[in-house]
Amino acid sequence: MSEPNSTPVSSGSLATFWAIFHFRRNLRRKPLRRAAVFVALFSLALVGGLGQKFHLLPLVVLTSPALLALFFASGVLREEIEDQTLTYAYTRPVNRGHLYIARIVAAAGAVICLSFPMAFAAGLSDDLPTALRFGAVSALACLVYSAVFGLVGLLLRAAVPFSLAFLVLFDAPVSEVPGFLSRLTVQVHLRTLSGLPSSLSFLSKLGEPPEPLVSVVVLVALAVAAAGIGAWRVSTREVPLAKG
Amino acid sequence: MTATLSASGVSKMFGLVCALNEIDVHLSGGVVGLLGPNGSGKSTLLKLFSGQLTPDTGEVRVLGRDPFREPAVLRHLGLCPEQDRFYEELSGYDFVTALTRLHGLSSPEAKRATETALERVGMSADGHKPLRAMSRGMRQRIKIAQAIAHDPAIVLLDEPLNGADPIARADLIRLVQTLGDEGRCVLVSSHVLHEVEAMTHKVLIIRHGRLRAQGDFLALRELIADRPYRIRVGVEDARGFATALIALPHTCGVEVLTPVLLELKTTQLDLACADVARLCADRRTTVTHLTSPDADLESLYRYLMRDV
Repeated sequence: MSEPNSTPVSSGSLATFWAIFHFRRNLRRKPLRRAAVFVALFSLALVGGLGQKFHLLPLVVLTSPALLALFFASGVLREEIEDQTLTYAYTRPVNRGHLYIARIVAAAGAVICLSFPMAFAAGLSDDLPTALRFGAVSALACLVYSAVFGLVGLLLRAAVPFSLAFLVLFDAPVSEVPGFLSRLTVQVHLRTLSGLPSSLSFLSKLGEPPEPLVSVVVLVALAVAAAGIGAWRVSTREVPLAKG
Repeated sequence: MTATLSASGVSKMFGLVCALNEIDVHLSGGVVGLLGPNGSGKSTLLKLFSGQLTPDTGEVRVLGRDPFREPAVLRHLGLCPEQDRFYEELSGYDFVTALTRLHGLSSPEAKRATETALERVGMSADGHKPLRAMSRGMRQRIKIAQAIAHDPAIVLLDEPLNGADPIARADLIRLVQTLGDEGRCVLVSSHVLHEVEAMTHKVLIIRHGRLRAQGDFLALRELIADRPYRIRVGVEDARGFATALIALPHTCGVEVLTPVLLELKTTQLDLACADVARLCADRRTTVTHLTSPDADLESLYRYLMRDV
């Protein structure tokens, strides 16, 4: 039997292992594999200039990370609750908040695997610095949206419709409104960092976009806050587990 | 001495349903059977001990620490949950290795521990099969393997014999006994009384969220003074034998069932058996049948489950 006083491994390093474990599981999933085939073909088309020709750059760089995060990250914990597999992780010597963050990181990693190549390919039709910028913005978007939608999924049963409504009714349209209100959206900061113009260019002239550094700070803070709130909630409150 | 597992005044509500009501349980080493009908609160108690739930009142301690707020203590605990759910795309070996690593073992240590655990549950040969291709009994053994692979001091088994075939059941019963003999605190929840009886004499009996009995079931049975033991004795002259038995001080009653079978009701099982043997010797008769339907766990369980 193990000695009760033997040195424990830190909860953080165990959660890191769990994040890698679930990232690998995500990569093995059929929906992600099918999406990867589409992403590969679409990326080739983007390198050939499809993005500029059909004005797809905002969709590729700004919208696709949000949609992918919505479908891959909003159900991370609920999926395990419904599958009744959460019991295995919750009876391990790991802080439940760390386990939650591990699942969010794993989901974000999978989303980045799909989103980054498309954004990079879209930028590559211009030049390498643009490709790197688009790729980085896309990865940041994946992290932010995964953290936000992960939290929504934790708090609400109807996470997907709610998150979709957030994107369609608030995040995208309000980001086009000049003035302070737009700064409350994720899209406006991503657009600032990517350098992509607003789709309503006549409105964008009415207000100054936020500084890039401010946008980075806001997005990172939002991701950290959303993940932190989720982690705090699962570590202090019972998550409904399997019946019994 | 600090109890390995302890619940003091623990109550747990799910909405308006009281799953556990003022439970007091203190367990140390050895195997203990957790018995009760469906919905009696057995799984809730196991979830409290494994840190999945927190009590509404009272306190739960594992090795003196709160398992919900201090999950670090869970490295000394292994749980085999009731539900037949897994990460289906993995093999049994990969599943156990991953969950063992989550207990803080390095990759080589986890692999060694997994091999040992799979061997203990008799899954060395089939452990590398995908979980989705395994039978229910194999999956059950994989669940037990992940509960014991990290060599925990406490093992919680929720219906561990579900789906196992008779040979596997016998092997798993032996495994549970061995875990107890090794000094681990093993709490086994089950509906199947004769299997629990084969594993241990120590039981916790819960009904409607309340603890009805705790301890050695033979000792508990002796405490039930208002229900005498029944002993069925097969002899050649049942009527004459009954006349001799009725005179004994501990006899509550004798009923002749057939010319060669009688039923003795007694308050002292051991004494009555000795007297039956002595009377047989005196009367130069042979006992063809001797059973006591009231001396087993089932009789105690039935008594405690009745509506008072």
